[in-house]
Amino acid sequence: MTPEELKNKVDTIVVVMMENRSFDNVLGYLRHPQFGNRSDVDGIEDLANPGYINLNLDGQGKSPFWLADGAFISDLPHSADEVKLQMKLARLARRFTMTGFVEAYESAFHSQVADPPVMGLLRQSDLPTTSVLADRYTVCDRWFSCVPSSTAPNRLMSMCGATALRDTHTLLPEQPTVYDWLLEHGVRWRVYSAGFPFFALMPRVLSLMLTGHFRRLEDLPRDLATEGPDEWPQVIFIEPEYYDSPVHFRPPCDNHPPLGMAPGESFVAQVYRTLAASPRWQRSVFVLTYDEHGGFFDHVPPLPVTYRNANGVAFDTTGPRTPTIVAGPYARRGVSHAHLDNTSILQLLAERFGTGGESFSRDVLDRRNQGIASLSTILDAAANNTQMFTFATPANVNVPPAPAVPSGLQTAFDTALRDLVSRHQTEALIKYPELRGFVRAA
Amino acid sequence: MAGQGMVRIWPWLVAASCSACCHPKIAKLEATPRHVCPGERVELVWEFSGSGTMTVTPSTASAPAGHVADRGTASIQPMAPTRVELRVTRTFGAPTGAQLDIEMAQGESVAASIADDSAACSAGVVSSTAHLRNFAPDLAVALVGMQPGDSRAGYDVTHVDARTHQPVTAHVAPAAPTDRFAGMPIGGDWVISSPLAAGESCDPPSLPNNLVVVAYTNCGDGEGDQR
Repeated sequence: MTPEELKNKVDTIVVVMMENRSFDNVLGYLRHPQFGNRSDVDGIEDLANPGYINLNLDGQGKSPFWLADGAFISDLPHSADEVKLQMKLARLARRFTMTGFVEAYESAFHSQVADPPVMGLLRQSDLPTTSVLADRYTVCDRWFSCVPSSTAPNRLMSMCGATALRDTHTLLPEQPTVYDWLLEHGVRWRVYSAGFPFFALMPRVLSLMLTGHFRRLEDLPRDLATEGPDEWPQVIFIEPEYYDSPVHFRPPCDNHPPLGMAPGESFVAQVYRTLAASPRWQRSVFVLTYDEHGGFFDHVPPLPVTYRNANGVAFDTTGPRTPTIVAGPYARRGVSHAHLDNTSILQLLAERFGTGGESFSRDVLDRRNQGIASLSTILDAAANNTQMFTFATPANVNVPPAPAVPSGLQTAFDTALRDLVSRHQTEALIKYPELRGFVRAA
Repeated sequence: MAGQGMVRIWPWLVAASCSACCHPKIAKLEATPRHVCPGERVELVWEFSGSGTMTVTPSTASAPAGHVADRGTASIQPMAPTRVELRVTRTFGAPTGAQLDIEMAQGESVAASIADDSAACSAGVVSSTAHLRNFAPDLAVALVGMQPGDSRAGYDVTHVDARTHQPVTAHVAPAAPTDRFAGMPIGGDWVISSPLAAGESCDPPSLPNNLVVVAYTNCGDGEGDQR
């Protein structure tokens, strides 16, 4: 869609960003003759393809396999160093082979099993929501995580267009966010979250969390039904309940291992049903994306898109692909091979809400110049994909015990929520009463 | 107010003092060898910080079960593929776990990665080396063939006999497995080379990720090693 078409036809852009799944883990089945049989999608056609074999520490070859959805014994490795190992550069071939996922898993967790979970692929029977969306809307099979690292740098890239972090350790550094950009441009925006929002980890966002910009997911149907066109937000970020948060409003549903996909499938179905049933859906763009691949195998090498910041944070490629789907009336049924990442959403926001030709930021423009397209390039003003679709209920909504390896994110959430109570006391406890139990327990 | 202050201060102290030292941590869980014939002896070694329980499934005589010391060894003789699971908890931090499968595979993908330091490409031939470790010495090769569906023309394969240190070389082609390696231990290095296929080149490099053959194994007299 052109900027003019965007301005004339799109009122609302909705972004749902889940956690830690690779394209092949979630949507690789689409290519397989036994399941999706879609030759247009770059997924897994043959589990026995010799090119997919990953060696383990014993030198054994491990191929992808069909994995039944469910909880894992632990998280999977996805720090910057581990992602580098997973992508496995072959100097002779001068390219990444994507054959180090099993080695990274075994090295990180002292586990050596016949079917390493990092090589597991889900099928549509495990994905009652995602499989329907993939069948009816636009599957993006060249949507990459922004940088080859973990959650924090990738969410910073996604929501700021830049990252001052190389890896996930603790609280987020103070950076200009998309919230600032939207405020500066007078765009109505809102976060609806099923739990504490991710950017609670950025200290100066804490005070924003107490404003009407941040609301609970259960407020969404009411707001959708009652707000007029001048109140209803133009940009909406919808966040799951994060597994790593120490305080939960509801069971976690972010798809981050050790969590299975079923809770996230229910969450996405709930969000889709709410939005798609509204007349506002007809002028909306809905993006279901992920922050990064989470340690799961993907067979497509990253794009050579470099990133540098002034403090020395440097990446030479994107990360592995993520299973992103674009839905709504302007999303064609099919597949897009355009080179995209989560900063493609920031480009779209700039085209829709910026002044003529304005970029979101210099960093995002730099990615565009390196070949990362705007999300607008895959939207079609004439798609007319207006039907609302229904989903089955996930068979296995189980929540595993606490993650096996305490993560940097857990510590960061813990610190951030204590800071929220410390700085805002009554206000924080009124808006988030769940924090009372958290403070008392501490 | 003082009480509220304590509420805020204590978690910080606890978190700061325990973040590094009080979480459960597994330093080692190993099985040697991990690829065996039925009944063969496997040495388990573990080391962790915290309180640990071990399960061996299916259990065998002398297999650890339940609470185990924070470092230890055990000798087991599994008769079937076996999973060893170690779960560790500690006063602070989430529980952690590790799993090992003791395998008795009869067909093993021997994959030489193009990312291996030994990989080379010249004169229209690409080669690399697979390094199979932790296989029992009496897990012997029966046949070596190509993986079903592999579209390459064939492979030249060299494997060093761990007993005689003599290299043995053979060619495998589609539907033409070789028994030249019969009786040799599967463990050790396998040098695999193949002519470049259509669309492949050394320079500019356009090479496959892996060169793969399948080694089918047996356990000698089939009775297993009861030593």
